[in-house]
Amino acid sequence: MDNIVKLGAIGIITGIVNGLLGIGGGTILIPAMIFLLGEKQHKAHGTSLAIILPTALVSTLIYKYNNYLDLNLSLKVASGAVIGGYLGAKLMNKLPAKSLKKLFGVFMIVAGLRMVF
Amino acid sequence: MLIFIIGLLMGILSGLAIGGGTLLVPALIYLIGTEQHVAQGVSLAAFIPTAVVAIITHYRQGNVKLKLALYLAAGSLIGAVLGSLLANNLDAQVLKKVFGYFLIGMGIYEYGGKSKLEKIKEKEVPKIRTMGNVMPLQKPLKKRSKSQKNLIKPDSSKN
Repeated sequence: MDNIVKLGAIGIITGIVNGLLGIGGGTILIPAMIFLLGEKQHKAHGTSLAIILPTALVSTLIYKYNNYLDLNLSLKVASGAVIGGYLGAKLMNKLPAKSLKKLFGVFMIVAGLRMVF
Repeated sequence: MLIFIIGLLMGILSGLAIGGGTLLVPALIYLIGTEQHVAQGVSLAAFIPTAVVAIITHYRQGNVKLKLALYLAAGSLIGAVLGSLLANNLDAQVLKKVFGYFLIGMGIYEYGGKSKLEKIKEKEVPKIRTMGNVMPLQKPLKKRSKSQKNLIKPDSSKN
């Protein structure tokens, strides 16, 4: 019972972030699975995708219903993203992931500040 | 072409597990001039084909726990409906601010930390605290299994 409440809460928060902000939600789901549910990182990663896919599908449909979906733009982005995702996975061990994370962390903070102010 | 390049870069970042998707929305807004809601819609829709490919790979490697995914997806589908309806009823300027705050939080987490996942193994205490602040989900619950106890131990010292 305790576990079901935990799973439900993690799920709902992930879904709300997904729908409200239009981003995957893996950034919340993966650490939650590792720290709260004790899953291994690679299992958490794989499993999180299986949860976010249907979630993103539902969110996309609601965005489409409210005319907030630009299919043409999405296709262009997706075609780049599929190729990029493949390259990224291949390059995973060849790029300095740690410094990249810091660099993009700074990007995020700057972009976030610009959006807030 | 610019759009394709943005997609390509975000894909590479996601493939590196750096969470490039989060940067897609501001990139669309500031480089292409997309409206906030539409940018979020693009981010969601573009995620789908990428995820399908990734899931197949992970599933073949035995890294998808189907039953767990099912339980969590039950909650996340409800959350998605709530979140999407809320977003779609918010003014673009308000939504942009909400997104901005989240982005700042994510940026701090990314900068200070995703490597924390690795550092936990080294039991490095102080940095884990920052994560507890950024990610409220990681506040320790009272009941934990043995394996989880070990993982969260450094964090629980603060509470």
